[in-house]
Amino acid sequence: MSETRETILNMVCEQVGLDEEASKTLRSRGRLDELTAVDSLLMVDLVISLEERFGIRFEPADIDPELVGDISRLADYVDKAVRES
Amino acid sequence: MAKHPPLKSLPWLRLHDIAAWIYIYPVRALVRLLPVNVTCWLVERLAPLYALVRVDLARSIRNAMTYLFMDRDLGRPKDRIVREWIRRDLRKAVDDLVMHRLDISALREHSTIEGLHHLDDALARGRGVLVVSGHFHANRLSKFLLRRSGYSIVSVRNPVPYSAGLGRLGNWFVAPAYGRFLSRIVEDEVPATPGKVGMLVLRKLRENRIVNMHIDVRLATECIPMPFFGVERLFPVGFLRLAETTGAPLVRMLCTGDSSGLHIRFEEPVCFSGRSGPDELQARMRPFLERLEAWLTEYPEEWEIWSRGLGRRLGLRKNREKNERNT
Repeated sequence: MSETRETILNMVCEQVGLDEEASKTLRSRGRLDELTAVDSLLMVDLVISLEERFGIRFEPADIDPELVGDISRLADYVDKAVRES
Repeated sequence: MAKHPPLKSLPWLRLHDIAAWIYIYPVRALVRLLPVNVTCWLVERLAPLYALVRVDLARSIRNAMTYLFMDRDLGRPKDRIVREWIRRDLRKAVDDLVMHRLDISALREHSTIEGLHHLDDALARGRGVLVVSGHFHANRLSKFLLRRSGYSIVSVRNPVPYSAGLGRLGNWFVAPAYGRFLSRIVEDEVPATPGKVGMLVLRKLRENRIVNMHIDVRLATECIPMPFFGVERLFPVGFLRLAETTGAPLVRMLCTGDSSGLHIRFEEPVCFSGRSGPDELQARMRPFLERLEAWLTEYPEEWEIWSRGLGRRLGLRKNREKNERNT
């Protein structure tokens, strides 16, 4: 598992306050949009937190619920944005 | 998102299903054939007759006003406000049909936009703008005028409006058709889809667009109890959360009037930063609701929600707690 993916998972668990079972499901499936505890405002929070944490900026076209809902894709996006910044 | 009762609990067909179908198909087709000024003239003549016929509607609006205002003095008899409300509701329905054929320069000439510099100031900050309003009859037309005046304003809207007033057939066939019709006239919208709406609004804000959200319906996951006309009711705080997270300024907007002349009023931008706790959130919410109270008291004949299930839209705290206990 990439370091970025692990960081994002930890951020999500901390922000949402997931219980152990939900946290385990998130780590195995990597789908944020499958968790009922995660609404779209929390996704907005996550995007802003990621920008602050990694010093990147999501372009409007990349602010996509599908991208942010998939932790692996999101980690790849963040890694790429960090490399390019 | 507010949960609707299952369609199975509704009757197959209601009179409203037929009326809505007539509006969307035959009336729309007829209006296309008539010149706009003739249509508006006809509506103004027919409105008093319509108000007389719709005794049931007048009664439910009067009851809703009593429910919210109690014995508050509105400076005019309630019956007069109710008749005026029905006239404006009919006019709005026709304005929706003729919107794209209106002479924009004439509409601009007969309209006033107060405090536009507040919107310009907010836009100049480059973080997008969240324009906060209530459900007033003139909103759609006002946003149309603003778009034609160079202000790129996006509406957050339910893609398929559910209507408790329609039966099953109406909700299956007429409501989606009405939703498609509204999408065409609203032009630029963000669907209020659970799990996606926040991200889609963020995208628009990042493009430095203006996003309009209403504060008088429970279209959000997070609602807080707030006093409103002396009674504690639940209000959505999604717009505040978005402003806190994104740093986008909030601008209050009131729209009144119709296609014969609009009055749009913008107020000073407000900015918040950092996620607020429960007490601070209430403090941030209070001025918005106080302003909504003032708007409703000043323009009760312009507020759409009177006929759209006031109790369901503005839930009482005790009902919410009862529901939570039952589940």
